[in-house]
Amino acid sequence: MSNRENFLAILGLFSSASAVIPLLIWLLKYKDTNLLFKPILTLVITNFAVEFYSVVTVINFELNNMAVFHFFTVIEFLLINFFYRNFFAKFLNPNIFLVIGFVFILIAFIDYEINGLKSLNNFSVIIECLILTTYSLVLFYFVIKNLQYENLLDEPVFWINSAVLFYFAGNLLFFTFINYVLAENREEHNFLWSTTHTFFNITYNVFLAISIWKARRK
Amino acid sequence: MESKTEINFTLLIILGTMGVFILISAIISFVLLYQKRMLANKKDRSEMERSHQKQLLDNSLEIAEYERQKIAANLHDEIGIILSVLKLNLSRIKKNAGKPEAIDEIISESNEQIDSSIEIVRQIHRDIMPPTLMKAGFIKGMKELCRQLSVSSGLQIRFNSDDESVAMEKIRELQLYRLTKEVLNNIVRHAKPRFVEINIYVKENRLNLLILHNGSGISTEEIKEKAKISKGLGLKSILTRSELLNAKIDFSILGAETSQVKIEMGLSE
Repeated sequence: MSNRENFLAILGLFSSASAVIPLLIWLLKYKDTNLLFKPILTLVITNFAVEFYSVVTVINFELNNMAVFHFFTVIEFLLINFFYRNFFAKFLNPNIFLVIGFVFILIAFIDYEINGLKSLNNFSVIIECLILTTYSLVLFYFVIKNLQYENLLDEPVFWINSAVLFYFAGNLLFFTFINYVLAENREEHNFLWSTTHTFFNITYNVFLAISIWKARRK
Repeated sequence: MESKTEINFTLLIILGTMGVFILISAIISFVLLYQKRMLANKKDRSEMERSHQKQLLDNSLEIAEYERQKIAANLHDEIGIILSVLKLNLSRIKKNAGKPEAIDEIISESNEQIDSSIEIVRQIHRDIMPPTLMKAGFIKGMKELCRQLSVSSGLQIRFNSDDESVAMEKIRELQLYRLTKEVLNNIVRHAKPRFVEINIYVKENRLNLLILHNGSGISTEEIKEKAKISKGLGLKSILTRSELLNAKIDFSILGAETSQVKIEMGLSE
């Protein structure tokens, strides 16, 4: 392995390792969590488990673990969808989120039927990014409209929403075009994966950790 | 050619992602700043509202205090003096025990004093609780007020109303009556008109009371300015009463010899 490849591999490892930060905060600070944050805690645990599995399988066996990631995409979407459903319960009909959840499962199923479970970044990921980015922007709109929080930086909802916006909006272009890069040049693909995705993934995990910290303090 | 395409995709992702990152940061910063500014505005507004409410309450208390002082002064200056005279008359009767003619004169004098004091007590009662207004409603109460004012000031006052009665709570009727009375007193005292006309009509569940006169006019802005610097309670009382009624009061000069005061308010709160 060249120095460049080593450097990129370490960055990728950092990205996976960052999943432990929100989990640690949760373990250190956990006491009681209200319904709103339960899906996020489940997401943090699942995320850590998937990252751990991916590191172990890639390093030790160099297996194609994409099936787990595809399955995780659906779980991740449903949990975040559930979080937004809980938040918007006062403003919107919760059945909307139920319908969106079912539609997404259907999309994921069609996606995996067409592209298979071993391919990278299927279109369901792009749809997930688009829906969650929309949720996050709508949440900010409601926050501004209702002025229900005195200090936004102290609100776990703000940090979770920012995490979702950063990760899913930030990676939208990456997930959309990365397959084209992979088809042409694997090195460029690895470079983008270890830089762009790593940056947003670490930001995502740090923001989730802050949200758990703030939720606990509240 | 192929290599160029690869570089373009990588660049596209990097530049696009940087653009998205800047956009997200801008959105989050905007949300934070906007929220902070809106909360500050909301706080300022509620602070202003609180201070305004306090001012309104202070003015109401001041007006109530003024009314009490007026009643106390009337009782002391008018009734008090009469009672003193009556006491003196009783002493005079005792002194003139053997003089029936003198006693008759004193008794007749005392009767006049008692009649006068009864009239003063009625006047005070009319001021506090105008009987026509209380018994027959706002329109008739206003008609009676116009008649009394015309008699006491010698002014020609014309009263017009489309309705014989208006459906209003008694307390609001009384407040509006006092407000109108204060406005009319001010017009008579300061505008020096020769003619006053009062028109009352109800439109879309709102009562409109127009007072037209040919005395010197004044605008609402001038009234507000004068109320700020004036030590008297008249103007302050007009503005406070109109706010308590949630009524819109508008002073305007319509022409060289015509001025108008318009009071507009909802029939129910």
